[in-house]
Parts: sequence; C-alpha cells; structure tokens
Amino acid sequence: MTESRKPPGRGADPPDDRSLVRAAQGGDAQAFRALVERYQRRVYQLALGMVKDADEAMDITQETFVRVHRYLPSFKGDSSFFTWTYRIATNLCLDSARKRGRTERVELDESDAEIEARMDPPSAALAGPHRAALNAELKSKIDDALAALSENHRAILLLREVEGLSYEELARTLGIRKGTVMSRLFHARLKMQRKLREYLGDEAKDEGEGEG
Amino acid sequence: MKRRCEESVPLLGPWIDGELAEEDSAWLAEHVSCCKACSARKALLEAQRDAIREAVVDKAASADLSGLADAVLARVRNDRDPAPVLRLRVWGTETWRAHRTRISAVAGLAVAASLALVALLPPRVETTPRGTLVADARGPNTTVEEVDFESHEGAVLQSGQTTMIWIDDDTPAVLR
Repeated sequence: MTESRKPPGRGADPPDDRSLVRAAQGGDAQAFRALVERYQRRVYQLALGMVKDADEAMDITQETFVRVHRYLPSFKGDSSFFTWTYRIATNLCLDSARKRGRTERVELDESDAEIEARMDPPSAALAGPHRAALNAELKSKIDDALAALSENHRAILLLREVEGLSYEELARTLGIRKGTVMSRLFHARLKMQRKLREYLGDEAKDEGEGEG
Repeated sequence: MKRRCEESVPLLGPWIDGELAEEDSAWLAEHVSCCKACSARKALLEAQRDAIREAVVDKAASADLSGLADAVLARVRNDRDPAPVLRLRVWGTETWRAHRTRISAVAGLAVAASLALVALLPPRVETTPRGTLVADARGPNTTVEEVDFESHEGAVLQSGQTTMIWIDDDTPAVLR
C-alpha cells in the first residue's frame, strides 16, 4: 500500500502526502485543503461504517480534519499521514459510541462455541454462485451485522476489509500490537460470519437446496 | 476435522490478506488445493471481505462531501494553537507509538544495568569516628581570635562580611 494512495491520473503527478503535510505545517491552507479532499471520502466511509448515522458520520469526518489541523504541528511523520488521520477518526468514532452509552465488548477469550463455529462448514450465502452483486437486502443485512459487532471488532474489520490497511498499519492506527491485530481480526471475521449466518440463514438454506 | 484443517483455519485470514510468511503460504496453498472444506472457508472469507467493502463503499458513495473542506477550513481559521501541554501529549503519544519497542528495550536495558550495578558495586558505608568533626566551617579567609570579655571568656570569628561572637556563660574569666 503506497502512502499517498493517489489515483491514476493524467499529466503531472499530484504532490504526495509528505510534501502536502510539510506545506500545511508551514501554514499553506491550499495544501491542507488538498489533504482533506484526498481523504475525506475514506474517513467518511469509516465513520459511516462505525456509527451508521449519516449526519453523525459527517460531523465526525469534519471534526477529524479539524483535529488533524490542530495537531499537525506535532505530526513528525513517524507514521504515515493516513494512518495518523484514521487513528484520529477511529478514536472519535469510539468516543461517539461510548457517549451514546454503548459498552465496549472485546471478546479476547475464545469459547468452545466459537472454536466449534469456526470449524463449521461455511455458509454459502455470500460465496454462492448466485451472488453476482449485492442486492439492497443483502447490503442491509451486512449493515446490521456490522452494527451488531463490538466497536473494536467493527473498527478493525472496516479498516482492513474496506480501507485495506496492512497489519502494521492496523497496529499503528488502533494502538495495538501486531499479534493482537491478527487475533482481533480473526475474531471479528468469525463474529461477522456468525451474524451473517443468523441474518441470512434462510437464504443460505434455500441456496443449498437449490443446488442439490 | 482433520488436524491439518485445524492448523489451517487461523491462517486463512492472514493468507488472503497477504500477511503470511512465504513458507506457511506454500503449505497452506497445497492443503487448500486438496481440501474442499478449507477451500470453501477461504472463498467465504474473500466473499465476506468483498461484500463488506461493496456495501460500505456504496452506502458512502451517495454522500455529498463537496462542502466539507470549506467547512473544515472555516473552522480551523478560528482555531487557536493547542496548549503546549496538549501538543506535548500528542508528541509523546506519537513517539511512544512509533518507537514503543525501542523505548521498552532501552528502558529494560537501563533497569537491568542499574540492578547489575547495585549487585556488583554495593554502596560504601562511611563511618565518622565519634567526636571528630564532620565539617569544618573555617575557610581560607576565616579567622578565629580568642577574646577576654573580662567577665567571660569568648572568641570572635571573622569571615568576609560575617562576624560571629561566642561568649562562654559557664566559665566566667574571674573564676579561672
């Protein structure tokens, strides 16, 4: 994953994150605007996945960049700019969830039921041949399944599956060790799989019968 | 569940993420190619990843973010510099997160070195013989002169701008 994540374009390459950050640190408002415009969609995506509510996701996105600007003088470039930005956004999402009174549930211990579940033959609901594209109902089920996860599981799943962060970047963004990244991601995927199986149980059954 | 499958299941995620070591990837690929259940598990993980990405990206795609940068810039124009304590805290957090392993290693070495020093070089305990002076207030420019105050014995200490006078109450001169 490249740091700038610049889209392929014509003509001169747009400036990379590092030069924009340096210029913004020197007070260049246009450089800061370029950074906001480069990452606003990704930050909004992350926030929307985390909090579900579109207005709240917009507020979090705006607040993320206000804080990025505020703390930009302290940013030394030890981590990449987007990792740093995602960390601010993730923390704001987690804070928002806590303010709403949702408790953190980070299941670190693997129960026997979980071990058993992961050994189950997987559901074909998502991987089946009939899933050419996600229909609206399936998207809604995925949304519900994501919302049913703990905040930490949802955050790591979104950062990995949607944003494509590497394990090293996940560790930096979430402030956890790489070993914890692997374990948390494993459990998050497992939980997501179980939630989807709950929501898509009938559909999966129908597909299985149809194929037989 | 075969033993090989039990070993494979936790590695399927890191494998599709491209985070598995080369040698592990090699045997896992070999196993998945001839194990229907693990092949289906891998396919499900990939399908779940693609479905989440598609659902979240589609949902966010319709949002109008055209005014966001302006709104942010308007807010930061009035944003004053954060307090030095806050900036220091952010710097500290950044430094810790970036160099956590190195800082921990250096701190560990420092503690180990300190313990080794204490063990190898116990501090010397110096004893002061009873009745001897532990400090001498007299410097090179200090003079002490015995003075007969007629009724009592005494002395005058002169050191720079300081003058101190002792008068012995217990031994009047007349009685000696």
